[in-house]
Amino acid sequence: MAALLKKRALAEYSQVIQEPPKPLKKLRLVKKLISGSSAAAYVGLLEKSKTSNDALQVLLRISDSLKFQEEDLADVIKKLAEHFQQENESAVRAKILSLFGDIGSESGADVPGIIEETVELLKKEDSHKVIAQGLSALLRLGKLLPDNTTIHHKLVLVAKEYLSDTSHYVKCKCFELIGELLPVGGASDSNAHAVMKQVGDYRHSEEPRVRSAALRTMLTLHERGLKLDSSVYAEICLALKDDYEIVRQVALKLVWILGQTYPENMITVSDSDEEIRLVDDAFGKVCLMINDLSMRVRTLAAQFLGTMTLVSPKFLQQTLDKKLMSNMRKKCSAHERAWENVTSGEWSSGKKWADDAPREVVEADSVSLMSSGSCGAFVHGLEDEYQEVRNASVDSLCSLAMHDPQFAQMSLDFLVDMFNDEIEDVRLKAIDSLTKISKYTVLREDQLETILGALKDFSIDVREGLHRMLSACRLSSKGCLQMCVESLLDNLKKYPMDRRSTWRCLQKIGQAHPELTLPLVPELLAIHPFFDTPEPDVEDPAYICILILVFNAAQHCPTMLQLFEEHTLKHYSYLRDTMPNLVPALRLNGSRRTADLVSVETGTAQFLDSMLARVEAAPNPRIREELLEAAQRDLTRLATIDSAVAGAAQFCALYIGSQLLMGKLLSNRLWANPSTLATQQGNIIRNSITLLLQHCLKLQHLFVGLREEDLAAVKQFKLKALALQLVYIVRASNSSALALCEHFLEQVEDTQRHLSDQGLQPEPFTASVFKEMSQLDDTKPGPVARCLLPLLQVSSPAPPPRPNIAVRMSTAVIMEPTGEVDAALKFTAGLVVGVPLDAELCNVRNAATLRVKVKYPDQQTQLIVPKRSDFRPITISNKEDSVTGDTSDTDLRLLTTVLVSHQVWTEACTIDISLALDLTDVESGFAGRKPSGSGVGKTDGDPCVIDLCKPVKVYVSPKPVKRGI
Amino acid sequence: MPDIKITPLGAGQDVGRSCILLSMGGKNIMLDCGMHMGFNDERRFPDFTYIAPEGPLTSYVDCVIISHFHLDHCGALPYFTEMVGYKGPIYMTHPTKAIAPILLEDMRKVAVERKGESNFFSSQNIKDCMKKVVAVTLHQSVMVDSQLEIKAYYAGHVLGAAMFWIRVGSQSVVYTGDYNMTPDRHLGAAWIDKCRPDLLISESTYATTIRDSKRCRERDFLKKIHECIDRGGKVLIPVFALGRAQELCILLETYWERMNLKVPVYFAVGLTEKANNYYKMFITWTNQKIRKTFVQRNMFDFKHIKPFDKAYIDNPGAMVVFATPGMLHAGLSLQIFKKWAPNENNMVIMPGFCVVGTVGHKVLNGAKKIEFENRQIVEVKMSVQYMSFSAHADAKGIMQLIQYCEPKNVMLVHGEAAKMEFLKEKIKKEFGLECYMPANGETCIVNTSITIPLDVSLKLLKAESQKHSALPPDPKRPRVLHGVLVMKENSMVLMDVDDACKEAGINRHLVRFTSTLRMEDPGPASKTTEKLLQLIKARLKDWHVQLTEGSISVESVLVKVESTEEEQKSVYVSWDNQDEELGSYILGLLKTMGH
Repeated sequence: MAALLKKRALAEYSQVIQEPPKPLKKLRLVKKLISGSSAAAYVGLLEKSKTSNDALQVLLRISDSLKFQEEDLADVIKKLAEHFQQENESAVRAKILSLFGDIGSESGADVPGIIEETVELLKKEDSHKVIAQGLSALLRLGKLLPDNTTIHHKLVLVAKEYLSDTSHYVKCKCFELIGELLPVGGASDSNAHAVMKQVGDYRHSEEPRVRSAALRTMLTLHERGLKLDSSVYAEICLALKDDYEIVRQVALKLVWILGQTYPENMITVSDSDEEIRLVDDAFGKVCLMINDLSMRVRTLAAQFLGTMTLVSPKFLQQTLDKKLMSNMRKKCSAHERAWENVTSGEWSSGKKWADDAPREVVEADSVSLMSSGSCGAFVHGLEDEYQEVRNASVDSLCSLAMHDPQFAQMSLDFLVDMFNDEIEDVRLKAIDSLTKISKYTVLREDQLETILGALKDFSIDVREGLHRMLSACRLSSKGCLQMCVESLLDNLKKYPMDRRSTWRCLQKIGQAHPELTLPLVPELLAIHPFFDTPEPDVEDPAYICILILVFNAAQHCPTMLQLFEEHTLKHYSYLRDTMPNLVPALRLNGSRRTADLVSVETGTAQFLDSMLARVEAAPNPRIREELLEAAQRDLTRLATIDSAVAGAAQFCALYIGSQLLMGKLLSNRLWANPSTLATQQGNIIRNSITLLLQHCLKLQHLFVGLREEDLAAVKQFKLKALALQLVYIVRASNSSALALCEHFLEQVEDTQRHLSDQGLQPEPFTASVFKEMSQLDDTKPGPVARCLLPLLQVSSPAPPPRPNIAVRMSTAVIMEPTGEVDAALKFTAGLVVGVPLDAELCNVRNAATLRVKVKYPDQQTQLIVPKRSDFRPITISNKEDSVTGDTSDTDLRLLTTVLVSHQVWTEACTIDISLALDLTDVESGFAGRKPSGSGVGKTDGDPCVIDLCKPVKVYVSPKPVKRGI
Repeated sequence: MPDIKITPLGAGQDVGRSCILLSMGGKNIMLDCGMHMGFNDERRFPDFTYIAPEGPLTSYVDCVIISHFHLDHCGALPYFTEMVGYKGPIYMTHPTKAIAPILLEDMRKVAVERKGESNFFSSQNIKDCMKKVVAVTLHQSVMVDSQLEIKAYYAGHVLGAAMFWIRVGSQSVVYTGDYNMTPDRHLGAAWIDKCRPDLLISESTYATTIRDSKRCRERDFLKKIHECIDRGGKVLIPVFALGRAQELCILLETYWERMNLKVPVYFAVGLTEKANNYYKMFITWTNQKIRKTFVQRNMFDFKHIKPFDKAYIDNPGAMVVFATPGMLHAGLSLQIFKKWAPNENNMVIMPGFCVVGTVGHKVLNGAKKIEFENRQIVEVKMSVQYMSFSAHADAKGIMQLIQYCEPKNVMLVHGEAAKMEFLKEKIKKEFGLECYMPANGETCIVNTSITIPLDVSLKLLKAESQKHSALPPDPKRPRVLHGVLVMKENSMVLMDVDDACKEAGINRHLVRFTSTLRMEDPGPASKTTEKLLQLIKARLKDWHVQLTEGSISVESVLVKVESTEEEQKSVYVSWDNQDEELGSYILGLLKTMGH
């Protein structure tokens, strides 16, 4: 079946009919025989059907099954055509023609023949429905022969004949066919242009659907490479005033396309002799459509505006123009008032009634109430009733502003206004747009004030968006900066969880505005010329904010350094150590850190290589073991030093560590004697095996960017560990090993497939396992274990795979809760309390396996599945270290609330919250356990749960329920 | 009758007491039936004696249409139906039908119980009146009788406000009531399709105003409130109970939600609570945001806005209170104002216009001391803000509506005469449409073009359409129907000639015209025929010209050449009376050939 589907899919999209590989073909033939006969049988039934209804039922069944043998096809077509001629019911005839289309797409069908047949049948037809269906069948068939221009020519001729049909449906189908199949390019172009002209005539049709179809055909032809002529522009513009939205939609598209295709053509304006560029005129037309009756047309118009970047600035700037008046007197818009306040140097009082009072009287004649051209298009678009239109307008405004700095400055006010939209998506979009254009604009105080007002927003997305925006923008004055810092500090006070985002924001602001920061330094740091002020607490987030701002500004403004007091310098070195990515290196006179470490070519990668080469070259197992031990130590250290190779080093270290552990286990003498295995000492072995298995899973799931060879090495090692476990269970315990054994065999098969797929050589141990297992006829645990033990004992540790710099290890950092809160969270026992959790995850391959692990003091552990919606991708700008550069979708931020609940405790205790990967579902059958549905009640010893970070302690205290109130 | 007669009984060059009489095609329709809030005598109701000096009016008015529930549009309705005695149908939308009685009842209470008026309609009257109302839904076409059809369109303005399209025969009128072309926090924008009425009757409250964006105003409003509560002040917002109040509530509610504010917001209870229930129910009449989110949470289920208790007036700390009435002339809002005015931390925001003489008006004009009846003097130290939140279309909006529905004539009502004058000129200039602005009691006659409906037999139409479709459409090519106009009792039918003959029992006679021309052309007759054929073919390019049995035929025109003498040829031209034009053309052609 799958083969059949694949084959049909191929037939749909490409003309090349591929012969499937041989073994598959056999399979297909078997299936075809069964079903093929049935479809052919249906065709036979058709002859016997007495009424049209019966015939239709039969045809429906044929189209449902639709499996024919190639040699049957011609016969089937013939029979269907015969039935067509004697059928009275048009629905049945239409169905037959649609079947022709289906059959044509079957492999081995004689498509030109079917086309011929269909055209013949259509000649005598007079039902509109059937003709329309026939034309769509012809279109389908014609598409199957993409290169056959002669047939296409013929089909287009047929379609043109049917254009004189009275039914709109038939006409629409004709246009569809012409649009798709008209041969374009080369010698046929003049002919094609004639057809295009003829199609164009139908924009005067009385039927809106035909008009729309005709215009759409022009569009299709244009997209297929037959360039529209610019002379049709004036005609198309008339279609913009059509009564029907389907026509207006297509006409709008055409106007837009013409504007983009012939931007520089000059055309005369209708009621004057003035000549303007075509793109400008088209822009004006699109702008007018933003006032259209239909929401869809408006949305389309708003979208198109953004792409018409070639428009002249004069027209562009008109889009934001709206003359206000009140009672025949001119009035300033709020934007203009704000601007005047700023330029006149006086602050808006905002307290007077009628400070927006109208001024001079306007001449009645000078007011134009009708929007002409591009006037005020965006003003309308942004005020539209529907968020689709508003969204599109914001997008367009932004993309146009990116091309025109002056327009960017003008659009600022309007984008800022959108911060107040009722729908959050639109607000966010406005903020993002402002971020994008911020490099072209300078914010004034009044604008900034409005923007900063939104910092009080409850939605974290809005706030963080604003932080990004602020870090990208340019401020105009010292006052702006001060206002900005104050608002950010207020924001921090209100929403302490914004700490990190605020810091990053201030870092960027400081870097961008050193000269504005300089005059503010004494005030910000509370430096008094005569008195010593008290030393602020360096752990205070607000104070850290200011320090980050000042230090980043000082980086570009050396004079600032002299202003710092002694304790500020002390705090500098503290912060430089604790958050090096936020605090830059400063050139402080006389300090120890005159020059910070410059990053030099370290060659850690070569080091990695050479170390592993040495291990491989070890002369005997004892030295090799020592070398491995040393290598593991070195690699672990290396991982902490150089982040570029950290992933690879960690991977190698873990691999080597596991190998060593395995070696140690195997060298244990207990294996010889099953009875001792079960004793106390045997417990150590059991724990070691569990640890080993967990290492395997870590190797497999904790790293991204693994090559196939790495993966193969991990798989083979895992096989070995599983073998060891199996042997241990069989020899040393009396529990059933059946499931384990089954799982082991599955893994053997899986590994074998993996290796052969990738064309990799198995290691000696794996190879011998494959050999033994294939010779084994009894798959009971006993015999399997018996033949595995000797193999294990003779095996030698495999060399670690070549280091691969691309490897990254999954990590998680919990930002919130910090674990430093002394006050206990109180809640009623048995009910739940929510602990907000904010964590950053790097290089997580599968977020679905991520769990929040909560460990209670009674050693009870819960794994909580976070909601999908709580994960959000980390964008470049708010990522902590930009070393990795690539922001793949493996980097996530988890913002969620962890629900904690417990029975009564006598006093407050700490619970541990951490993040872990739960691989139970992925590794079903691993360690012989069944995958369990609920994540509650897992113990620590489960090898399938891999911790990603250190637990954070949260102090909670469940109180008993108060009774008798 | 080719004209439409309109007589405003109220709202002609005036705001308030909307009541417009419309008569067209023999039907009389009353559009709105409002009262004037400024008068306390009989002038508050429209002068119904204009319709008929006395006695029941039912026979003079075919139906009454109410656009929305504001009292200046529906206030006189119980008076009209119960006291004047109109018994015909009344049409309004569902929300209007639900909310109007609440407002009417409230007004009745004020008039009767507070002012002690007699001869006013009673509660029972309101109920009885409402029973006569037929509720309509948007875009539902309602046949009032066999000729009169009405259809409602969304108008924004307040919940349930509608514009009505009214058609009698081939004449149609659109009456807008009050409408708003910009969406607000709880309602969408007015919408109408291209219905091309003969007359558009539009309100014109803001005929000379073009407004700034709504967002700026809202932001100002919110910023001021936020600043005030941040400094611990109390904010008083006097409102009228319905309409704007809901919008402001939603505005504050969402802002509180967004900013996570905890300061209490109160709404003085009263009829608002009842009305709010209806707002919750008629979700389909609200804007996109409310419609989309009501499944999760109905926006009118206010989380932060709680009912007000008089005891809260003296509560310490910041708070925001909505209180009625809107102009600070009496009631709770005035009471609160007296308490809060002396504190400069507090603020009062007037969200609408205030009539001269009210405390609201004084305060807005900057009065610092206000004296009340009992010689009590209140110092106004609180800050006073004015914020316009009106929901009428501005000049641009009116123009846009005209553009949308493409009327043939425009009439302006519900506005001041001077302002209308400006807009009238603009409409004339920019659209080239005739524009009217009648005063109250002045009858205005709008001429409409006469269209005569005609039945055409399907066969005839199909044949024509087949012929028409054979060629690509060309707007310049005329579409001709050949048929016979048959007048039967009351209808006119265009029939195929043969059918008409058959029906009338007449044999069809054909009239042929024949004319003979003499021309000199040496050579055999066939040669001459050939020459003529070329000539005719060259002139009549799109026609089917053919040579049959020695004669040239085009449609029914025959040209035949006979040679009488050597050089003399007589040319017969003959044609059917149907092809008179073609025949005379060819004849003329042949005649002038030699010249």
